[in-house]
Amino acid sequence: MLPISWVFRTLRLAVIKVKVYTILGVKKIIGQGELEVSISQGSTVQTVLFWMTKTYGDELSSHLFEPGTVNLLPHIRLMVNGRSVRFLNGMETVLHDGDEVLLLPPVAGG
Amino acid sequence: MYKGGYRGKILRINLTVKTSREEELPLEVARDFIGGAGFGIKYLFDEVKGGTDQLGPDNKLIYSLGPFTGTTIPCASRMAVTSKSPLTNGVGVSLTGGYFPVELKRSGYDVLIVEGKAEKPTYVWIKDGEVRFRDAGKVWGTQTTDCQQIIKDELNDQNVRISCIGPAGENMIRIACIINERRAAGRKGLGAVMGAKNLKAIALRGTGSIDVASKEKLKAAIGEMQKAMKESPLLYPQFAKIGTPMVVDLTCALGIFPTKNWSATGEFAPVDQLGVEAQMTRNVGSMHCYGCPVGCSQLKLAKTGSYAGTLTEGPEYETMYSFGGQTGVDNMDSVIAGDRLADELGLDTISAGVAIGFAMELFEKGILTTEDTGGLQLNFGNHQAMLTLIHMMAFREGIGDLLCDGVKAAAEKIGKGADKYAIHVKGLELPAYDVRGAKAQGLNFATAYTGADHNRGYAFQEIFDIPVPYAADRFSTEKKGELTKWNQDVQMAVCDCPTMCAFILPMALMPISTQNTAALMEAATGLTYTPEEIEKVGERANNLAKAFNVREGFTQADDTLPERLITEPLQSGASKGHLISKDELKLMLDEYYRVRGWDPKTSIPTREKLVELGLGYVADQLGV
Repeated sequence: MLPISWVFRTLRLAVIKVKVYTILGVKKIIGQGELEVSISQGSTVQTVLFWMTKTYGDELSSHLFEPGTVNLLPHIRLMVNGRSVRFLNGMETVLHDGDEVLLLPPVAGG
Repeated sequence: MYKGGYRGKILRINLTVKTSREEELPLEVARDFIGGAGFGIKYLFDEVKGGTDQLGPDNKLIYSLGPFTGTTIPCASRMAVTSKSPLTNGVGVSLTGGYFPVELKRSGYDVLIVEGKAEKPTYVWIKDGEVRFRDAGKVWGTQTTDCQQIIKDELNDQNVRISCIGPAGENMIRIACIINERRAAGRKGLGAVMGAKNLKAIALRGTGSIDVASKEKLKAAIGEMQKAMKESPLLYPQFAKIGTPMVVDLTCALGIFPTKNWSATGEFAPVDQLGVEAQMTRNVGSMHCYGCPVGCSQLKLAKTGSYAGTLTEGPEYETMYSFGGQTGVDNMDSVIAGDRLADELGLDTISAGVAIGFAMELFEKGILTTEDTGGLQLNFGNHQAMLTLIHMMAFREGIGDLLCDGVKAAAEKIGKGADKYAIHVKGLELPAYDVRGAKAQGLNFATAYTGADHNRGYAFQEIFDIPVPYAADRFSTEKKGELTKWNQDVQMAVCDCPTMCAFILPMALMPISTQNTAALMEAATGLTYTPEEIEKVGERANNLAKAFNVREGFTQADDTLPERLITEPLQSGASKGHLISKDELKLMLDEYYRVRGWDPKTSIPTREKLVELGLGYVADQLGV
């Protein structure tokens, strides 16, 4: 598979890099708690999620989406630079170079 | 006439004259306050006069149960312990679980009030209502596990349930806790009250049955509750296996796991060392409170170095912070050892850890020197020094004597600007949420009647993203006054009064909280409430607690946060750049007082509000 950054360069799309941080079950599936993703300028949180599910397969999809849909499970939490996307533009929140995305499975206790 | 849930009785014990008597629990008190913390606050306000010495014989120690305890309602073996706090000088309520609460209900009581002071170390033995005052000379000076075992052996009954103190309580250190089994009524220094009364332990054996008003209705109401618990994506799949320490991973990700006395939050985030993956390498089993199908409490066994072989129930999330992040210690086994040591000696792990981290920062800044510490190198991360300090505090040795009454008192004694580094509100050390990145949680710390207390109005909306009653942006001040009131009143009414485990609320019951409590109340007790009336019970108890504090001289100025959180933005992590500025705090407080019906200048509840809550006599006492 060609590196996604190569595709963007070839198509002359401006590329931005964002970092995705995650914990617990999702971290276990993707094998790391932190990854850098290169995406085209103007991409949204949804773009990153789709890239991740494509990369990490059904196991991740079943953790994030309602079965057979692209609807995010209600307890999955997405944040950009520490702020919940509920208070930004939801899944359509546009990302910028250097943004940090938090993808968090449910946690409680404390 | 009680139909169920309650036993309808108060047991009053006077240690000075070694007497006990049973009293009727007035039905209107049950109706207005439900139980647990509500009863504790009610009897504390009514019976402990303003200005009472917290460690004198006139202070009282109140054990109070809710009507759910001992019924088939799951997760309800909880109990409030209430006294005038030696740490804050205000209402000291601490809740604990385990088996002791059910045993007290089976003994025939909803409330146990301990008065006076024993002439010499004593333990009280209550068997189905028969009260004996026994010499505690044999157990005085023992650690909490030994104390419980010796008493069981002495009474020749291994099923006795015991609430006791360790050496910390005996030495009346103001961050001492009360231990039952391996659970703790941890906060606000209630162990010191017990020690001041020369009361080492209360031992119980009860065989009475606990009736309910309607078994059919109770089955249906429990069914609703269990359905919500089963549907939770978290409760059984995760929480039952990992317990509270999973929150380390979350708060590190959110940049709000407080570290190095709140100077390095976000920068030092020891998730690899103290997070779930590391914890699971130490887990050897789990423990359940009575009637709990979840069993969140994890048993951990230390594996390395001189700590190897130490077993503890915990450490819970808060202790991962206090003996971990707060002290800059990222050695899991030393946190396990610290947790066990604090439980055995009878110290509140949160306040103890915050005091140690405070001393470490002062040492690194040169405010404390090796001359003060007796040669201890109190640098952040020194886990041996941390363990040594826990011991020194319990026995008031050396610098331990300076720290063991909490950071507020220590800062006053040290001077040299030390108060700037003392992380407390109203004298109570802050729990494990750097509220610069969670503003409703911060407002709760500033306003909770107990001081900085995560369990009195936890902002689930910010920390766990639960959108009930509405979603909350953790960085915003918008509607945080209203949200904090709701959190404080609902948690009081749904968890602290009936009494229900506080973990079940965010994980399963938030959408049905007051409605389910009303259904459970009707089924268990026959008392009917609307969901709004349930919430009102919480509001009434919170107002009465506030009134107690006002009577003790607390003012609006006490509703604040440590200077560091108001002036120093977070430097790293997902909450970088955030703080709660003085203006933001004022904005939130103004809204909070307005929605509470309290005078915005003084923070004192208005007569109108108190009368509305049926607390007219309180308004008279406060002169409002």
